[in-house]
Amino acid sequence: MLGVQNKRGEIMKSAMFIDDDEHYHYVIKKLKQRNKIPHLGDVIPALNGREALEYLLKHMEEELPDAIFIDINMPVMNGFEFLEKFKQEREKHTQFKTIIPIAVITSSTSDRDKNEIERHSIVDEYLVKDVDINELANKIDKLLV
Amino acid sequence: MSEIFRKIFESSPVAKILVNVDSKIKFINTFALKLFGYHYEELIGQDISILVPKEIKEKHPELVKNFFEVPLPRKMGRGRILFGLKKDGKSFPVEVGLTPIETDDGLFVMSSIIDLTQQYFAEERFRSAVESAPNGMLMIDAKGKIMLVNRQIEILFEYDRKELLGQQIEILVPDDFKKHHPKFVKTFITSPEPRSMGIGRELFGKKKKGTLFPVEIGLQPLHENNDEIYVLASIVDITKRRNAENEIEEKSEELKEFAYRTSHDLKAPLVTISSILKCAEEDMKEGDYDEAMSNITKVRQISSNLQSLVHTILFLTKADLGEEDQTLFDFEKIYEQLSLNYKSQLEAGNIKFINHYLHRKPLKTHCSRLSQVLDNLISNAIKFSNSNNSNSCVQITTYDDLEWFYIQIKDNGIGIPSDKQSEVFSMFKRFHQGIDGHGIGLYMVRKFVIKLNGEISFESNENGTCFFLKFPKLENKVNLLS
Repeated sequence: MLGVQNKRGEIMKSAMFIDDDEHYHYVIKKLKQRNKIPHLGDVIPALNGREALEYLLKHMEEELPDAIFIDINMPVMNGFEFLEKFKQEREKHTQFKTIIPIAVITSSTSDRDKNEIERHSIVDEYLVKDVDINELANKIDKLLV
Repeated sequence: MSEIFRKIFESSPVAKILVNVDSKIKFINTFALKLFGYHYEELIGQDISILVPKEIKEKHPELVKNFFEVPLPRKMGRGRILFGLKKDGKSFPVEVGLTPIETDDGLFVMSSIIDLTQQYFAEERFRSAVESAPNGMLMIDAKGKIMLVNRQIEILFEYDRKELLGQQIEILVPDDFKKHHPKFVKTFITSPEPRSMGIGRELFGKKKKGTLFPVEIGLQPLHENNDEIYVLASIVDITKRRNAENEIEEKSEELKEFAYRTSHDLKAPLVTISSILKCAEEDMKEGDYDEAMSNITKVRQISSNLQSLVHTILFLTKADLGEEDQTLFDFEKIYEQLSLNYKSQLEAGNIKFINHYLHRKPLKTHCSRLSQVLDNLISNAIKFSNSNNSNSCVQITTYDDLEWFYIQIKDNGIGIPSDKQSEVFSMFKRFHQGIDGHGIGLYMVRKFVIKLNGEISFESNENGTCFFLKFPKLENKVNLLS
């Protein structure tokens, strides 16, 4: 799969963003529009873990996102619950044979959350949502390269 | 009496009196004269009972006779405290040793008298110090037999001291520890150092009726007559301290959770505000003023939510402060107030708000706190109404019996997801996407209900939720009793 290319001819990756804050999805959209995350291709927004899980299960035969960025504190199904459930699903279905990298993006910097995140082996990165969004954009982009 | 004998007698540092079978004083040394406060002439030839307190005076010649029947050296009094009588009428504690002396003039008894005044008062002081100690104090011998207990021990363990004296100390030890306790006593006796008991373990005492209570115990060895060891134990009931510690721990856990949650929930909107402002900045640069304007509006909205969150947190932290007086709760008024406060939401959702007041006697309570509880529950019921239901309804019902006042808040809204019901009263829990809320409300409701000595529970399914509150009618109870 060649994938979609950006202006510089680099491959762009699709990513799923799971966060209950609609403003966050707006910000991601804007960052992409303004080319602050040059390697970001298609964006799949989800407002909580359950929505994300349902999407992934529904689309596992087709194209899945190249990366998942997930928040922790969410109603309905929070980040930790999602990670637990998604891990189980991944083991059940051969369709998930290519492992999707997962990054946690949260504004929480507490040790408790950090430890809990580390406990989840399927998490590849832990990014802190901070007031400087350009920095966040850079971090997201790096992970997509 | 030979001169040598007389000299030995005289020079003895112990008071000595020689008495014949008729109880008459045949000789008395200077030390004894000093002790009793007499001159030699005053006592010589007198009956020995002159030196005996009046309670025993009559019986004394008989006792002397008894001695001469079986004249063996021995201690007088057998464990009783003996007293001597001075010339000035004062009695004083003594120890008396009796030795028969066979002479050419016949059989005599020599009594050696030791003044125990100092020991006696030292012991009295010790006893009264122990008795008046604010802690429970008891003394056991090397075999664990209880020798002494004070008033506090009687109070702590709910025994009469008569029931404890002479018993094994294990009578006060919890059953599952009883077996091992004698070993511990032994160990302490073999290396008797003052120390606390059971460091690092929780110790319990056992009351007469079997209940256990947490204690702290200090041990102090007492050496008496060089070879006998006693253990003085000081026992403090730490129930109150333990409860306070538990409460502090609970509060501190709650505070940690609170700090953790608030820091996250306050930081998240700040990050969003900053991000959106950054977007607005870019919009301005690009000349897209409409988009910038819309972003600024968003920021204002988030700020106002944040303000309301801060307000709620401040209110919550005040939950433990000050008590208002109990007054009669006005259910009509709260219904009117809430109908007015939520008028727009009720109309927008086409929700009926009904009251069904069936209570016979009014409820006396801390009114503003209960108002907060009802406000929260009603506002939740409105917020989580089912928009697909054209007959949405929120109902507040009251009724009472002799002991309790019941309040129900019932809705036919979307319900609480069954897998989340166990967390309903936790701090900062939100279960529904797309409905505003800080996740503090029900946490606060439960806290307030507990403060009001009430109980709260709920039932919920996809057809709605019902919260059940009940508050004790204490006054009625008192009335019934009287």
